[in-house]
Amino acid sequence: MAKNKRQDLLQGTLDMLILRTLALGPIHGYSIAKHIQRTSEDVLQVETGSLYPALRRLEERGWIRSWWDMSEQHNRELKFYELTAVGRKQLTAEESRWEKLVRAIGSVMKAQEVK
Amino acid sequence: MSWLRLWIWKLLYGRFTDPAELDRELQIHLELEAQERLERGMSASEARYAAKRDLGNETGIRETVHEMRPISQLESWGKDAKSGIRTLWRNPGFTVVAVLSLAIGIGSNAAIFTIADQMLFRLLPVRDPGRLVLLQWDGRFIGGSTRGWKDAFSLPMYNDLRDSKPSEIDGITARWQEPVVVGIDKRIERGIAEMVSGNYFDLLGVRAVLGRTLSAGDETGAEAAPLVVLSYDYWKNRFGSDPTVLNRKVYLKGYPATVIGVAEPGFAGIEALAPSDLFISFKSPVNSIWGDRDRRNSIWLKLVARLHPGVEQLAAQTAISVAYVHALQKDLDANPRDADTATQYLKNKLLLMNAEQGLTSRRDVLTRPLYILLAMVGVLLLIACVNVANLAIARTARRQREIAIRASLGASRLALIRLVLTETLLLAIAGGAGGLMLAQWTAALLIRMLPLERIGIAIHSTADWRILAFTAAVSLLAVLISGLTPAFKAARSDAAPILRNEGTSLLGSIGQARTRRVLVIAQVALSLVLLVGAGLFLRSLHRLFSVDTGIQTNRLLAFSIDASQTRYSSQRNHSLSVELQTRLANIPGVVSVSAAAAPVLAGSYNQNTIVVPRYTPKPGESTQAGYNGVLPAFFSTLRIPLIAGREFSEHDNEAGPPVAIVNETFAKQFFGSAQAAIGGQLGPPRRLLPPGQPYYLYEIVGVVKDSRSVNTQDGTHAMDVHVGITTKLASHGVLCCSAKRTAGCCRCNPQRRS
Repeated sequence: MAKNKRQDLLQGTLDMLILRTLALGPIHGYSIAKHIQRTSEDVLQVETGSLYPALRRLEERGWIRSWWDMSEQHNRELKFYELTAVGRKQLTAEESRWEKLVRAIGSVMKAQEVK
Repeated sequence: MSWLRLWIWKLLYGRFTDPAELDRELQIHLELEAQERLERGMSASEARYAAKRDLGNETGIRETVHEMRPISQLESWGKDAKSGIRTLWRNPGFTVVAVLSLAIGIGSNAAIFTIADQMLFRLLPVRDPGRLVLLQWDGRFIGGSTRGWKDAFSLPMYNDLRDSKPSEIDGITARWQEPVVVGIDKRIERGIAEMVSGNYFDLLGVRAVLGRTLSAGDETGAEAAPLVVLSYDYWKNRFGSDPTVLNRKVYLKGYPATVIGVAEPGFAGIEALAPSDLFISFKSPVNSIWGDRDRRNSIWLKLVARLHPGVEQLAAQTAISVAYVHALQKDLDANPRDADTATQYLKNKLLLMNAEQGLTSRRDVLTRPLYILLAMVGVLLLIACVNVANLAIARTARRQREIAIRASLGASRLALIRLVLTETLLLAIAGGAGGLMLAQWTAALLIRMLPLERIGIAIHSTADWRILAFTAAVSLLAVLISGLTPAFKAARSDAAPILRNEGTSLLGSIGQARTRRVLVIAQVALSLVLLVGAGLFLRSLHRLFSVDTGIQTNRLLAFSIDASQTRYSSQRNHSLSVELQTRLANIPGVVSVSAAAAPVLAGSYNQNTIVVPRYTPKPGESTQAGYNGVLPAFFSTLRIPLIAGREFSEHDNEAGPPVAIVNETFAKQFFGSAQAAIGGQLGPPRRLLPPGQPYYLYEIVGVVKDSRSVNTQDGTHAMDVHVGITTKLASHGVLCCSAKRTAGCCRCNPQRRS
């Protein structure tokens, strides 16, 4: 069970990752955590202690909505989350901001010499 | 209404009213986690344990989500407040000292603010006061009579400026204020009258609460209709807010007048600190300047103009200046001067001053002392806060165990800071309430101590919403200053060692001891600053109000009688004062008695241009001198030292040659020294006298020390001329008798004897 070193999530990044995960379709809390962990190849570890408060926060802001439903995979009732229209817009905004940030940091890191 | 309830519910509790739902979600998460580990080949118990470990602090998650509800903030504040009250109740010594400190700190601030707010920051209670401007002139005076100086204008000048009607202003109003004898139902008392132009109320936008105000229609003709408008306070205090006051007859200086209305509450004329009781037209014989009204070289009226909306002050100034220069030429036409003086006079400038606070000459002396006082009580509050902070830190040190237990039970730093801050807030609320009560009577006391006549009518000690808001703000500031340091100290303390070892908790850490030492040093330093500041302040205040007037006022009794109601002839007025002098002098214990035409030390000040034969004033030199008529023994009664020559005697009467006594400043300016002045001559400028009146000069028989200061701030002395009271001078109607009593004669009462 060799685990990669855990990376601390940048402040506010968790919200974006949750929104991005939910963009793929309705999904329950546990799967959100697992999806982020899996797609980041175990680099990003979502703390349960951050995940559920974050979900409450996003729902409070009206970016996501939730309901209880039967899960066929787990054969039990689970709480599912889904993006709202506002949340989708928010995701686009955050994505572009993130890309800008990555580009900016990237260009600083790649700079060969000081002009 | 159910949607409303739902909405309020959501607002207070958020969407997550059910903690059980979160528990269920977390439980499922745990089970799914364990199941996954089981599938990977862990043992059942091992998988459950690992899942639980991964989940972390379950209570913490619940707490975080719980705290996200808006109401939880309120709930914890309530809990903190309850706990705070309990703690404060259990430490009465600390609580009493802290509340008293804060009450004194906050109370002194509220008291000074009560006064400063009303004296310095209030705008005139009229319509759109920001557009009001006061007219002033700068340059040379043409020579004549002055009552007031660079903000005083002659009536013909006012008429010229008003009638020029520049479009930049909506109008100009004029006003003159003087005390008058008011007769109501056969009772006589003193009242302050504002004598105004007909457009006064319309231009200021002051309405009547009862009846009507004066209007331009009332002053057609040479003399306006004898109508009176009462100020609201005067109506309330003197007439008991009697609505039947309309059409009542009152007597002003013996002239009958009819009450036509009561002005809006709060308005008492255009000088807020010199409130007027009643308003009449200035075109009235009640006006003491009535006989002088047509002279272009007698300046007395204060002029206030209202700028037209959107017009800059400077543009209006330029516009009125055109009419002003024309009027200056008219002044010269009526009072011819030599070419040089005329050129100079025509260069006079008209200036507009912002008058949104009305006329402020009375308060200007007190502005700086008030700001100093504000700064000083600010320091006082700072000291009180530091004191409370110090006490609180000492107490926090004793409470370390409690705080450590709270911290170890999961109270966050923020929660601990909030707890201590809430306690300080409770102290400040109690201190603020106490301070407000303290401020009420401190302010009342201070107002009584203010060296301004009738100031108690102009400003009040009762708290209004501005005072309440100020006190609340000051209290909050006190919370921040005195609460933050102890709060952070409490939050930063490390729980573990305190819980392990009870011994250190009582002493507090070294860091806390250092903070307390610094606070004590700050407190002592601030107290020293305050003490030195207070000392300096008292000295300058003392200097300001006890300028050597040159008159020894101890065992001196001064009073004035006003015979104007009787409308005595000037002959009778004169004999009355002489008779009074003789009769008062016969009262046992009275050392000497005298009288003067203008009250001594009462602030009224008439100046006239004086001419000394064969003396040519230097360019720009003022030849204005105060002018008063006095009876014999005046200077010895007031103990004003004679420097040269002699005092007036009974022989200086109409039969003898006209004589005058001047003060030192006068003698030095015109003659070089006191000795040289004796035998010299002085008189009014010949051109000022009406044609046909015999012209004569006074011979200077004595020189006295300067006995009063016109300007208390720079301490400069004005020139004074005293002449013997003749029947002519006595016609002012106001006499001032000064009796010098010995200590054993406190009960002698002139009224009982005469």
